[in-house]
Amino acid sequence: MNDKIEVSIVINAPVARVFAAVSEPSEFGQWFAKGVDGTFEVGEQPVIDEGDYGKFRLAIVASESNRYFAYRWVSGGAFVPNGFLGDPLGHPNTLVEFFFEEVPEGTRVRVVESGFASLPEAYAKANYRDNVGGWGYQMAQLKLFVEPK
Amino acid sequence: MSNAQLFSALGDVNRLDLLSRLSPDTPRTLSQLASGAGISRQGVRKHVQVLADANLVRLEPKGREVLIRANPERLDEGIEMLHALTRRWQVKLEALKSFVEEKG
Repeated sequence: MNDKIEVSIVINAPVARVFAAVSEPSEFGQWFAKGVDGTFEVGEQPVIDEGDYGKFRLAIVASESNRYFAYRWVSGGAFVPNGFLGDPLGHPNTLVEFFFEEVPEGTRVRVVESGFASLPEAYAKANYRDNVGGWGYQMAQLKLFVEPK
Repeated sequence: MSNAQLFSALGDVNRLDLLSRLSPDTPRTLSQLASGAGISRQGVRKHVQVLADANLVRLEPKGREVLIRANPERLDEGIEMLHALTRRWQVKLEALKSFVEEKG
């Protein structure tokens, strides 16, 4: 899968604490969203409130204690500016995966969102340009994103 | 032109390599691209066509040859989309870190 983004961060807290902050709706609603309606059990479809970005329905696809949490959604915020409350699984969607790993400083959380190539243009359009770079810079960035790891 | 087509065109090691050897200012011929590509001339032709269909390169007929020119504007659209999404996740993870570390 080449159409993905990946971001990670190290948090100074035990894995169990960080996993709870992601996988429990009452906690998730305090840092990711303004609130969550529903549960994060696998197979459920809770709605998260992202304030100005709108409300989004998630489809929870996996929750493995202290290791892995994943959902699908019709990619939020930047490309569906008014939210999306339909069944995510019935539309072109992206998969969001959280990986949790114990490190000496605490916990590394890695987020991988993939599936952008499946999104129709209406969802995946961006018309503005970075003025920073030339072709070489753009190629370097591109390789970081799309080269098989 | 959909970004799905863009990402699909980019999702190939040979095409990425060809793109990295093209420039918007100095067009190259198929023969020039094929030499040193490590794949057959026919293979290069096929990959260039995929890049052209996705608007990542422009083809300019000149005599019996075709000049191939990179179109970085098209690439910018896809990159900017990924940048915006990446920035968004970075902000989210910073929020998670603050939330966990401050609440304990």
